[in-house]
Amino acid sequence: MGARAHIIIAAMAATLTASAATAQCVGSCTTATIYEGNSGVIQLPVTATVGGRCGFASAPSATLDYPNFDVVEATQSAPFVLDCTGPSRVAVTSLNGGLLNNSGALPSGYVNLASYTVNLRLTPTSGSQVTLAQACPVEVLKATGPASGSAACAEVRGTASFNGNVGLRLGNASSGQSSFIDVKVGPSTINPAAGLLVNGDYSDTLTVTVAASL
Amino acid sequence: MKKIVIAALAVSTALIAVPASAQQSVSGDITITGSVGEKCLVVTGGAPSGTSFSGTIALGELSDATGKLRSDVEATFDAAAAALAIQVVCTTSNPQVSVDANAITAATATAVTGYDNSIDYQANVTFSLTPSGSKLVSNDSASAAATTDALGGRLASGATNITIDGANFRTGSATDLLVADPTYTGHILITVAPSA
Repeated sequence: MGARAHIIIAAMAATLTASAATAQCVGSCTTATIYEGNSGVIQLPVTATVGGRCGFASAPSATLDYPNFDVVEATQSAPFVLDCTGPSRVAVTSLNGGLLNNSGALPSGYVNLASYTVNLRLTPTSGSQVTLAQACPVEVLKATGPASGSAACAEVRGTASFNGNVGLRLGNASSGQSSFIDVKVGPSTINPAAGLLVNGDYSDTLTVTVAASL
Repeated sequence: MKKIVIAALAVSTALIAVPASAQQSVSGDITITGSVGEKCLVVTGGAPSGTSFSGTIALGELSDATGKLRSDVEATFDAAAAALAIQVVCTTSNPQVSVDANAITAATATAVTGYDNSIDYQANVTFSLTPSGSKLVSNDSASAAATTDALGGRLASGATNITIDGANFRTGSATDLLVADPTYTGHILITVAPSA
């Protein structure tokens, strides 16, 4: 019995020595096994994606004034500069859905809300400027209770969010380039059939947002 | 001999970690302002056509068989005036109006006692208001001054809103004969202003 025991121990020692420098693959081979006291090399694949940077280098912030817009027509542009290392989306909403005068209730035939049009021109670092095929009537861009309009204008309305589907999409990076929001107000944008605009001051606020679009 | 099992990390091409700046949504506001001035406009065919309107009220022969002012000249005046179709709109809520009637006078002929070369009358101008009601402003040609007043409301839109009729057509004396002249002319000046 004593001679038999000696033989078994020798065999185990030889097996352990052969395994000292390598990790054994056990089971599906995605799980590496290293025996205690030994060392080995395990390769762990790691991948990741960098979404990029996207915001305004210079946010749109302007006051566009249109005196006597019921008889004088004008188009003005407010510039902004994107800072996006990849594709982006720019969205727009209107507070009032038009130029509004706070005159209260009005009799038939008179109105205090005037429509105008909005368009975007997004300029990439390289490539062609992106714009809407047709300017959007501002009532379609109203933040709440918008009027129905084209699919393109409906897409522009809202708040841009990361990798969302709201906003005009610029497929290339944009950095240091001037983009614009164009606003046209005048007799051609006003609907005379709606009624006669009452005298006074009118205003509206356009909110422009940008977000990365993968 | 203990074995240490290390599970390999899952491999994925999806985004694992994204810098916060890539999710940034930045906004900016643009303020749009404008104004509509105080104004009154003439409307023709449903569209603004300027700031003046005109029309002719043709009375024809003014005398009757006796040479005196014919008694039905008022009816002729009203019928012709009804066809004028005057529409004026103002952006203001209380336009000011003025009516000034001038006598219908012979171009060249002069008159002596028993004759007259001028016809006085009263012009009545009615302005339709919205949502309802109207304002009557009258002026007699014998008065040197015009009659002015505030409408007290917005002019009705979408249709003729100024109508004219005449009254009290007369010569200096009811027995006066009208002197002959191919041209007798008078006019009524109506002014609509957005405010006083």
